[in-house]
Amino acid sequence: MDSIKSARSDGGNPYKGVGGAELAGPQRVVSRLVTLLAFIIVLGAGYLLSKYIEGTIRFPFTIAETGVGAVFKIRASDVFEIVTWSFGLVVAGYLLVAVNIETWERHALLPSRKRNLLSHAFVVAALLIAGGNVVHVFFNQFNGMVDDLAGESIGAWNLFVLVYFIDEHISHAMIHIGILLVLAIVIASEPVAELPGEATRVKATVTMAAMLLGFVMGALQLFAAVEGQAGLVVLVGSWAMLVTSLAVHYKRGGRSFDTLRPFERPYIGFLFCFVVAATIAALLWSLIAGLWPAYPFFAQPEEVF
Amino acid sequence: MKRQLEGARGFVVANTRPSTRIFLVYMSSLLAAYIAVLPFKAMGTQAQVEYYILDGNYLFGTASFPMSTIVEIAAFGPAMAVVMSWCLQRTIADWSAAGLMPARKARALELLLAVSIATFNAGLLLNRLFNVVGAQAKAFYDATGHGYNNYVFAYFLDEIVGHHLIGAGLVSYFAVMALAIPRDSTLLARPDHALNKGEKLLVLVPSAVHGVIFSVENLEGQSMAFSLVSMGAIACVVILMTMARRNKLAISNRPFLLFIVVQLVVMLAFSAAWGAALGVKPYAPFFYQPSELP
Repeated sequence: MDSIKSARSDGGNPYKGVGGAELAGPQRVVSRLVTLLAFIIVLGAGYLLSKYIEGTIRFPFTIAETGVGAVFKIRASDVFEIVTWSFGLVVAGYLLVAVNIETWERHALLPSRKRNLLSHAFVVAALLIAGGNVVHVFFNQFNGMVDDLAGESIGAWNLFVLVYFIDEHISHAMIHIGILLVLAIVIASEPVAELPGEATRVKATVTMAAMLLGFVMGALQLFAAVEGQAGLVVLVGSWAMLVTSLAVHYKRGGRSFDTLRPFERPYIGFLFCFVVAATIAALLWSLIAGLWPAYPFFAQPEEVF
Repeated sequence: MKRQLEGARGFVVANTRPSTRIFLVYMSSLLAAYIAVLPFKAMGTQAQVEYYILDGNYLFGTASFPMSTIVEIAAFGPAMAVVMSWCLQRTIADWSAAGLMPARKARALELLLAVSIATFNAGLLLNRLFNVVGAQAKAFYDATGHGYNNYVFAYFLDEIVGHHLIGAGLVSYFAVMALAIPRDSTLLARPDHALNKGEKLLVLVPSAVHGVIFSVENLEGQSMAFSLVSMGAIACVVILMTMARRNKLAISNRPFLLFIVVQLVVMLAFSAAWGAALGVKPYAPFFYQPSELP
């Protein structure tokens, strides 16, 4: 193993020099954006398609302590949502992150320490997305069950308050933080320094497509988050990503924004449009529906309509 | 103290192989997570959050939750996930530097790791959260006779779904670490790659202890049969793979392979002894739970 250790001069990069014929730079950028589109499609499919699935799945089981038989019931749409969001989104997120990381590794622009850090961050994002979604699905159903008894006693009310908090505040925040973390990893994987010019330059249409994607996703995710009482999480999180990104480029770029080239960094355009769309959507929604006096401040669309 | 720690670290680095050190990091982190939870369990403090409730209520409510459960979720969730990821990244880096880790395999392992961590944490969250709310639902049902369905719902997600997902996530992580070893493992059969006696002790003792803890957790979580079958399947694959390559030394030379086999043996012995001492139930989960003991 000593020989292995001494041979790690390349920083232990498993992708260096492998993979056959490499894609040209612009094609590589397009494939990165396709994986982003796939991530967004899985995100939308989990939400939209589950609305069309009907039926209930029953699991008969025995309560071990008493030996009494019981039945656990779950909506088929919830099972679909768990599969697509908790696991489909993790797989789509991994593809998105892996394609971006590999792109910069092929150009030798991603140090192994940064790569490892981003990989560790991704597993945290994966557990936030999967865990948050599973908790949301089951606590949402449980919330409806304990809500009926909440007025019976102080114990029942305390149970309802706890279940509601976990369902609405914890689980939604986890999902949205997980999704933003995946986007943050993708943006952080890009080197701040000069990019290898022609190899990464793309057509204006590709950059415009990325910006349009950011605009659509920003508005939709803000509304989804407002429904889940986590609108502020998405707003603050996306603004924090943008400000950090700008600050890093300003500092590393010799107190200028010269490194922010939209035709080489379509993800920056995506993030900018995401933040703008989310902010506009939040402002418009607060004008239409008003604000609550305490967190989560934004009214839920389903309550208003 | 600092010098002693540096001395101990120097001793470990000088006398163990990278794979043993990776295994020890995993085990030490697990131990640290268990220790981190203990003071909070002893104190029994509650975390309280006052928040504004929407959905037709429009008033403030106070959610109360045990601090020990929050620390448990944080320690075994994100903190252990980073450790598990570090262990795999180090293993991939070591083998790729030796030219024994194809890029495609590295990607597949990383994806499997993400899925196994997602599964484990989904289970951990369901288990810990429904354990707390299930206790409250049961207390309410015992006091009033109302809300039996709530109790059954929470019980199923806590005891059955939660524990089985935890078991599936952990076992798939062990599988990921076992699969990270190169296919052409004749290299590992060489005598100079055999673990020395100290290393074997460092692997065998934690593996046996982990086997006992994992057995107790599986018995309490009603997932012993599932864990035995899934761990057994992985151990069989590992053993068959090494036998097929006539590489008899590979298991005893790789900490994670040794860990899987030793843990399975301990779990089998523990469940057999437990079943013989207390008998078995005629329905799943078959084994009596430790909390059912008088």
